[in-house]
Amino acid sequence: MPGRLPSKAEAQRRADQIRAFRAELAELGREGVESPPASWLDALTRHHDAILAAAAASFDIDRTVSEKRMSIGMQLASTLGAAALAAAVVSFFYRIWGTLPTAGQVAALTAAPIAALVAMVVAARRERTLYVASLCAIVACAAFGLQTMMLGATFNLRGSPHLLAAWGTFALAVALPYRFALPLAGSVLCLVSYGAALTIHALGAPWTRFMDRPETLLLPAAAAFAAATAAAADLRPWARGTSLVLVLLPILMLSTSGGASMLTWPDTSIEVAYQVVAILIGTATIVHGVRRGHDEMLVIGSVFLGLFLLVRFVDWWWDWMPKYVFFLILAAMALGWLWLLRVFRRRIAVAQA
Amino acid sequence: MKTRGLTVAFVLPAVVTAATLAGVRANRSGGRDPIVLTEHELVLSSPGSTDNTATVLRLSWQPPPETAAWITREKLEALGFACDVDPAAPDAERHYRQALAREVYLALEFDGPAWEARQHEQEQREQELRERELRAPDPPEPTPASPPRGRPRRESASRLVVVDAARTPEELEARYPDPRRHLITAGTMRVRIQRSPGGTPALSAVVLEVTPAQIFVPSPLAPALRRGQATFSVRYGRRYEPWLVEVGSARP
Repeated sequence: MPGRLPSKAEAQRRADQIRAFRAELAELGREGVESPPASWLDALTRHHDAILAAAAASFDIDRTVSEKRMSIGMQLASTLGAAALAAAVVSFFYRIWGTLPTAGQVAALTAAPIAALVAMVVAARRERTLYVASLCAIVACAAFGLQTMMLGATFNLRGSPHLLAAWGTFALAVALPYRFALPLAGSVLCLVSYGAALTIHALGAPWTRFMDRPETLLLPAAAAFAAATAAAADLRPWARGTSLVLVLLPILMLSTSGGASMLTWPDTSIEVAYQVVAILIGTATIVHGVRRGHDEMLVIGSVFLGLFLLVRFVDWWWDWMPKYVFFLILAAMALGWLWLLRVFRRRIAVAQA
Repeated sequence: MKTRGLTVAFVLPAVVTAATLAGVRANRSGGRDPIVLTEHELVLSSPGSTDNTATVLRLSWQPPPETAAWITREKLEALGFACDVDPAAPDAERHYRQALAREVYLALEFDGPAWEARQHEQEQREQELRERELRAPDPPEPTPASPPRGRPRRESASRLVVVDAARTPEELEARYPDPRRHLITAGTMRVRIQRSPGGTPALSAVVLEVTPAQIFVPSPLAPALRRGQATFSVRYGRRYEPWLVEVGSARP
């Protein structure tokens, strides 16, 4: 009997593996390679069918390539639908606002996210794919944001950084029960920003200006990255990826604008220091991503290093170098990077063999 | 885990509303007496259309006059700005440009000497500009005196002018006890270097914003706005959050 699959990601990985195995077996048969004994093949087929049936019963997995393509389309449709529905809710509230008494306004704002949550729970119980439920989750988060913003506007409140904590907590509470990725990413963004806002507020500056000192993001983002290991397997890449972007963004900014740093060194020294940090962290991210099989770290690290180098090259050479030489050097760098990755890939293949 | 997460999600909207209403009640349980402002100080920001029926007033205010004597190095240090770099030093521009803005409390004077001083400054500047244009090799055709585009006329300008700032509102309450003449609210300031022609550079500050910058018009008061020129009775509470008490008519 097949063991219980721990997550949808693991179930999908196993289904893809079984499909590839069956396709390769059929290909070998067509090429005239001797087949294994029929009894063994029958037992294997029954075992694989049991795994696929268990995975399909527990998770909404794609058993064929066509189903996989359809899933991507459904995810896109779900995201677009969520954005449109959220915009409809906001527009509706602005339209009816002036016609409601204050008590009605408060009641409507409080009821909106709760109604979206009820729809989410009902949809999750009726539909295994969870596409409609995830749409309702995003609308619930938008409705909660609308509630806090419009309550603040109605009663002329001064803003507070605790708003970010409330948004982050709500999004996390919505994301975890059904493992929704976008609310989780939003939650990480809000909670890291909350940490940064508290830091800048403690320095006496308005909490909305935490990006005036990008370093305020570093510690909360690093903490979020470390905490990502505690997330469910399905959500771990999203938690890691979002917090990693929030770690790398301030480093990229400070490698160009040392004046925004909290350090009291000369601007040039700060920029050089952060450029060194950028190269080290970018490289470490890519290596870690390759070694651990964390695709999101590999992609984010590569994009970060690419952006960083582009900004540096423009800063160093754009003003005085002939443009065709500049772009030739960029192309040479890209080819060099490609060669390096091929060497790396060959070494990994040798090590695994 | 699922039940706990859903419970938090369901409870949080109600908790936020309860906390907000408690805060509003605390704010409106005290504070200063109302100040009556005109349509020049509270400008209709969202006039109410089919798609947006909310009616919102934007607080229009003027920065302190350039001759304001209260913005001194000592005042800026009291507000929490680091002013140890000499404004004439080579790296002073960079130092003060990169300094963080600070949250402060502001006192705004309504229809007082500060507004007269601002108007006088603007009229002087316009006069100098007109004289410069007339002295030019190809002077333009004389036109009736009018302010450059974007500058408010005397009769339409906001009469609310920032006259003081402090780290705590209690200092301003003690200095400006008349609520009909001064309102006290939160805001943000930033330090800068002021350079006058031929003079030595000096430390100054700019008021970036007043918070909150808008006042919502409750539904029962909105119809009064449509009857024409209005006056607004505004009250600032214990937490320096305002609310609209009454909309009156400015017509005699």
